[in-house]
Amino acid sequence: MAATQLTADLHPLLTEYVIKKLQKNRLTTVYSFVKVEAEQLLKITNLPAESIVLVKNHLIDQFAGRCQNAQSYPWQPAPSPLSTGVPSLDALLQGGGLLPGHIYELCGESGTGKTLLSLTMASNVVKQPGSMAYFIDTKCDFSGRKVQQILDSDDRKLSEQELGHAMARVRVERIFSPDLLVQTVEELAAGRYVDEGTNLKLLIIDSLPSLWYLYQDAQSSVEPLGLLTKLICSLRKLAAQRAVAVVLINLTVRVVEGMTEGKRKLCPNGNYSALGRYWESAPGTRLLLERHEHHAGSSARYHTVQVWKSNYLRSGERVIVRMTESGDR
Amino acid sequence: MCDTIESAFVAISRLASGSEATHNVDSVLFPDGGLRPGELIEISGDSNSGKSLLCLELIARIILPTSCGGLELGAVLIDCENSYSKTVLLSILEKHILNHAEPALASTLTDPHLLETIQRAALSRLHLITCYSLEQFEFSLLALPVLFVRQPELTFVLIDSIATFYWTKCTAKNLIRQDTYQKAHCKTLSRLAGKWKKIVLFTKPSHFGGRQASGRDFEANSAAGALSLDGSTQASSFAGQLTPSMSTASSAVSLIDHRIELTEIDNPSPGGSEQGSADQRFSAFITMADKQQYVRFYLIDKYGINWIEA
Repeated sequence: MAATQLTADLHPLLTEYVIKKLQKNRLTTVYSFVKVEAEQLLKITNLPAESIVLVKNHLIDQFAGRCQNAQSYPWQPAPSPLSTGVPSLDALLQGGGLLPGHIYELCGESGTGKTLLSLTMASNVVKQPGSMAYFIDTKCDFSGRKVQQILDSDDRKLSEQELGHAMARVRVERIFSPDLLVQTVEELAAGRYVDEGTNLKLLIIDSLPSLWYLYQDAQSSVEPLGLLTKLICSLRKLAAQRAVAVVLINLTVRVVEGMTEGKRKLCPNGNYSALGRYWESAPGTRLLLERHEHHAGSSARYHTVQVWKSNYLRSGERVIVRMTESGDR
Repeated sequence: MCDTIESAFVAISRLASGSEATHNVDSVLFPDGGLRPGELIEISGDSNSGKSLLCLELIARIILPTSCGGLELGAVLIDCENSYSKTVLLSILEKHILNHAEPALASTLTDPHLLETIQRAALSRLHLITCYSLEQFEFSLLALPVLFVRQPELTFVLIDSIATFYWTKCTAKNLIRQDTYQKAHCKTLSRLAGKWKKIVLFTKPSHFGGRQASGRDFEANSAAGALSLDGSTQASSFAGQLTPSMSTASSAVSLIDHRIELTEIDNPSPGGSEQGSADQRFSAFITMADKQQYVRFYLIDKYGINWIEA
């Protein structure tokens, strides 16, 4: 995130002439302008002292984070949680579902049902007219047919038309580069891609490691970490300002013998989450998915969902979820 | 709304002179009296060890009225990690009110409406600044003095966390070590705290700013162990050219007055993967400015931090 450049449209007193004089003195960003002493600015710009103070205060106010009183923040009244469509999971999440404004991560080895669970969540969200789910697919695992199956398997049968509308409210985008992902998230935070009359309620990104594997052989980890920072900050902004629940999908990685340098948080089965130590504290809640033993003679598979880390749920709580052809129960 | 009108000069001198009072924020964490204006406190810990939660606990004690065991002062939380949760804070406030209310007040607390009124009044003393970028964060620090003047009862500044935007600052073209980054922020915060007579607390992950800074911060898969080592050696070799390294660690130490280190205590539970998870225990290792050190233990439940009486 480059520092914002000083331009004439920021304040009526910052004319092109003033900007040019500042640039000559190597003051090109807003921050550098604000940090410099007023006396020096007086000499450079020939603006009266009151004007300089006025402009500075205006810029600080504009670029600082919003300051709000805790009484009225966050939204009053609080938006209701999004049911995941899986009653036991809703109970685990304590509010009755996913909290808008919160960032969740589904973590687990391959084949533990992360994609299917996210599809179930998305399908459940779009059952409500006016609610949209945005699915960012990096692995080409999204299946429209699955979504239809999940919607069809509901007790309350949807009509053909309702089904069509619901499916149209699931927006899928295939993204294969981290930069494009960050850009899309920023655009979503700015309100793009959402139709009139619908609200984006859920954003799913499946999955993150498949994009950041591109940096596997990179010389230094500065760039991937910079992008991860950008991503999580944009996601937080999207979640908080637009009341969107965000679900990310991540892998767990097996511990390799001899890698004891730097303690990593291990989950109960001994693995740790991919993307490194920085990302450990990025999502607000990390849920671990694991395969449960088969129940003999049943076609359904059972998975456990456990709270690995959370800033509002108790860690260690878990439920068992049954995966069927038509999603999770 | 003001009872008196005073000139800006008088207002600022009044604020800057402050009281030399010590604020007894938390008798468990700081048993020997409290915190003094101008002090800087660091809260470090692993992921999920309760740093953000501890901030909310301290905020609760700051904003609650004195009739409920609080300081009845104002606080501002600069939230860079989206970790502020109103529901969690409300639970913590409820716990404190019920546990510490004066006898006269306690008898009336069966009325939930009264409880809500106290909570709402307390929340009005908390201000939140959310930052989604390094630039926003830097500007927010510059905007604090304006807030201090507008809200004179505001005495505490909490920042969660100061490491959030490090990788925005540290780019390939502008490598900067983690401890250098932290030291720069500590300097700014210390100056702010001293000038305006505020108490500043900040959180950071325990692995941030250590000797082997960037190792293991990023891994695509387990085979990337080699990658991370390269990352750290590159950063540290570059830093040799950045600043004459008089041991940066010790100068950072001198800026911070008190430290709290939170760690999870590994419980080798006999039951292994049993459903009834044994309560995770944590320890808080506190180092005060006068070199006193002591340990406290706690659990985390749905009402926040539960200190275990020794």
